[in-house]
Amino acid sequence: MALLKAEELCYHYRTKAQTVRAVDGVSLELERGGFYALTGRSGSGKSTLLSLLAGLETPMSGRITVNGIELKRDVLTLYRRNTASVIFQSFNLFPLMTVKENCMYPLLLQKRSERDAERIACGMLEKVGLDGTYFKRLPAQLSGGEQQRAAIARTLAAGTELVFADEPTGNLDPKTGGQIISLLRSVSHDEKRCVLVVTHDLSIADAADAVFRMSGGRLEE
Amino acid sequence: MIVRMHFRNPVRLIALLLLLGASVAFFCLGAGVWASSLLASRRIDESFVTIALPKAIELDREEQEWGVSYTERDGISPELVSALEGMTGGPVKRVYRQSFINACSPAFTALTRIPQGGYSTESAQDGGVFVIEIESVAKAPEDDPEGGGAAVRANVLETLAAHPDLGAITKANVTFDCPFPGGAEKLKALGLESGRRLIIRAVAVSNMDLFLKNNISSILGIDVNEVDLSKISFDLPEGALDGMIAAHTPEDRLPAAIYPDGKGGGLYLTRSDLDSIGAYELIVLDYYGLYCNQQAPQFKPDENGGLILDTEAPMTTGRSPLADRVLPAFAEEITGDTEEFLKTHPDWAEAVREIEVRAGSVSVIGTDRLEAVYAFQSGEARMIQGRSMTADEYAGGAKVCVISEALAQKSGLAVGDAVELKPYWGTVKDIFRADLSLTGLRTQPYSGAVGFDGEPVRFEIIGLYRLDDLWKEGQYAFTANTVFVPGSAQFREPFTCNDGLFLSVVLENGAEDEFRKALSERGFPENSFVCFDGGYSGIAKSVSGMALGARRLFAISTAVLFAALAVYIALFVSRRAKELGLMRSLGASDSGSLGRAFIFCLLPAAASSVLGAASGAALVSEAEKRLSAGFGALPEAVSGSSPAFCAAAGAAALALFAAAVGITLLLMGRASPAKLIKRG
Ligand SMILES: Nc1ncnc2c1ncn2[C@@H]1O[C@H](COP(=O)(O)OP(=O)(O)OP(=O)(O)O)[C@@H](O)[C@H]1O
Ligand SMILES: [Mg+2]
Repeated sequence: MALLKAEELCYHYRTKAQTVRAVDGVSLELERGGFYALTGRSGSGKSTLLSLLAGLETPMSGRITVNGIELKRDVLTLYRRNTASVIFQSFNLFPLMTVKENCMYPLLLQKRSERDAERIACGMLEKVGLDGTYFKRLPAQLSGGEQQRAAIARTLAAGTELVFADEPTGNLDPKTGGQIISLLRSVSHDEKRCVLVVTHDLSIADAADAVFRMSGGRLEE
Repeated sequence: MIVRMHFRNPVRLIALLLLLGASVAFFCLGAGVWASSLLASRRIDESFVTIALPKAIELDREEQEWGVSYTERDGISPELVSALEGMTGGPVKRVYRQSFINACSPAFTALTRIPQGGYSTESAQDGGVFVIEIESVAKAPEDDPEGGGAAVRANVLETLAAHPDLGAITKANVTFDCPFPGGAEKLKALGLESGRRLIIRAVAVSNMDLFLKNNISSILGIDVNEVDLSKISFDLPEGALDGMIAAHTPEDRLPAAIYPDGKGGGLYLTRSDLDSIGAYELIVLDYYGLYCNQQAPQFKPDENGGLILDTEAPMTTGRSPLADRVLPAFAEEITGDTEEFLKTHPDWAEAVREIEVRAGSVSVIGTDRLEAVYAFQSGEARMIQGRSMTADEYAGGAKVCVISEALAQKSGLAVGDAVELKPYWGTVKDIFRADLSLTGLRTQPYSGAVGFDGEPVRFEIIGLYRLDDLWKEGQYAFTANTVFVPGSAQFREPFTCNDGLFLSVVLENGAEDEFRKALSERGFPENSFVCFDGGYSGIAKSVSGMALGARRLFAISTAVLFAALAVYIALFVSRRAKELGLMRSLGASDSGSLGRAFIFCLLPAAASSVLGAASGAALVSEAEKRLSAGFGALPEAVSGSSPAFCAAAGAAALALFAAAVGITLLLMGRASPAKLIKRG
């Protein structure tokens, strides 16, 4: 059984002038241990689809089942806490928390002890290339790439089965970008977690187990 | 953790604290000043008493066979009293009644008045019983064409009773008056001749010596205490008698001596003036069996619309009801030991006691509120020591009293002492009101023939008042010989009636016009009362101006608070959307994320409210000091409560902040995490 199964997802943005069918009848399946790429032109609905899959937005129609359980309002909080996490297109760290505090935050929500949280967070930060000298800095005291890596560390530290990444390497130099991609790949392949990466980077798409192409809110075959 | 987060953005924190703190401080200032202006105007209102007193008694005009008579009518009818009581809650705060009775106490030495150029003490303290030896007869009964009059010069051998203020009396001119039929015979029977010893009961004692000094002082314009009678010279300057038609001037009216003015001139004194030196004038009046005007006294209107005694009202024959109320003691030959004489003559013993009682005679006014008595309301009388009666004492009829400073000094009494008051009515209860209308609340003389009226009552002195004019006369006036007690502590039968003298209507300050309107609406003449506001109308404007200013300040400070709140919500609270979305995207529950954001947002507001309220309190006390400068000692009680007001205002501001933050976050939190994150 697929880890995540989406059927006929629709999401429309309604503005006064028009209705944008950002996601328009998307169905897909994601498997445990899979490393997927989602590509498409700008404005094709990738980020919107990601929000739906990650439980940050509720689809207007269609349904998502994760481990056989349908994503409904009442399970969303726990889904986001324990099952799915997101790396955002633009890094979204809490500005007044240190790098370490940012990484510990989802772990603490998972009711882990302070010590466990700290250990896991620090380990993950080091994995993305941020050593102890960064831990006590505030996001504003990091470069853009460093912030992105901290955000990635926070998402991966949460240890969720599903990891959604929205152009995670956009702000990174090619070498660090490559390292992050291989980290994500190992997360999926070695830890049997499922990673979906939105990207324009063809090299990432090539490395993926499967590639979804989006256009005008729909998946291309 | 959340607190620490604020310190990671100190610039924003300080900006928030300044914005919110200053607005809260200003708001507290506004609220505090407003509240204290309300309190202050209440205190000011409380410190002024506006009273309405009924005007002079009205007269009923009646045609009689012999002419026109005027009789008094109650200025205040029972209907008017109940109408006044019905106005309470409107212009009338309360209707207070006073009551009156005379009383004496051995503890009192009543104050006496020997006015400039006058003869007599206050009538209640007047009179004396003396043993005299006739020196010479100035006018024998036979010489009085109308009969019943005589006069002698006498040495005073013994003063059996007299007010101590009259001093040591050794020499006196005594006038006898027996104006009833058969009076001349009664006088002749006394055998007035030189060397004869008499016991006499004088109804009036005048210090002629003092009268002479008063005369000299007023004519020469020097202080009465500086008049020294030993300066009198009998060396009349040459020609002093020139121009006097000696033949036509009685000898005792001719200049016999001169009081030098120190500038070469002086004041001529006659033989009768010289007779006054060291002398007293005693008037011995035989009331007993006296026939007089039975309808005493009659009044007629004067040209000012007031009242004067109608001396021409016809006498009706008949025995005066007064006669039975006066001791028969008049004048009698006395031989042998005085003490023995008094033992065998109870009337004379009673006469001595009567004068002793009079020396301690005072007026007792029972009141439901001292401050509503005109003189206290107007400031002519004021408490200077101790305290006035409390509401409980008025209600419970506590045996406490307030006496004048002068009476206390003269009697050697102080606050805390107790006095035993023996009530009495003397001779005049039924004609009393007329007396009061004319002279004010004067003490009436005690009569030994009538005696006391009820049991003595012990009162504790709780306060002393000072009176600007100890002897003021006229309506509503009382002398320093007046003791105030709670109305309900009064004696058995105090004098109280619907007569306006015994009624004070306490009005709401500034409600005089409304009161007059209410009177006329109920069919009473609107000018039947005189209103006294103690100067309230003078400051009413500044009181209301102060209240208006304070209200405006409060309105402005409230507007500023809301403006600051708007800035805070728009630039700080609503910017928490992204964090809210992030928290949720990472698995925080709706309520958990909202709670955290709420606390985060409210912390600076709470700190600002505390700081703002504290500095607001400081500002208010500063403002109050300025405010109070204009009103003297008033707002002590006011400023005491301003920290509480500021704390309340600060709490109100915080509650407002909390509500605004809560609502903003709740509205914001309805959006999906994806939208919230995007919004940041
Ligand atoms: N809040 C919104 N209101 C209206 N239209 C929106 C809104 N957000 C996105 N859209 C529209 O929805 C479509 C899909 O947007 P989405 O952000 O999913 O695109 P994307 O594929 O992630 O693009 P990019 O590669 O540029 O990030 C776009 O056409 C966009 O204009
Ligand atoms: Mg996108």
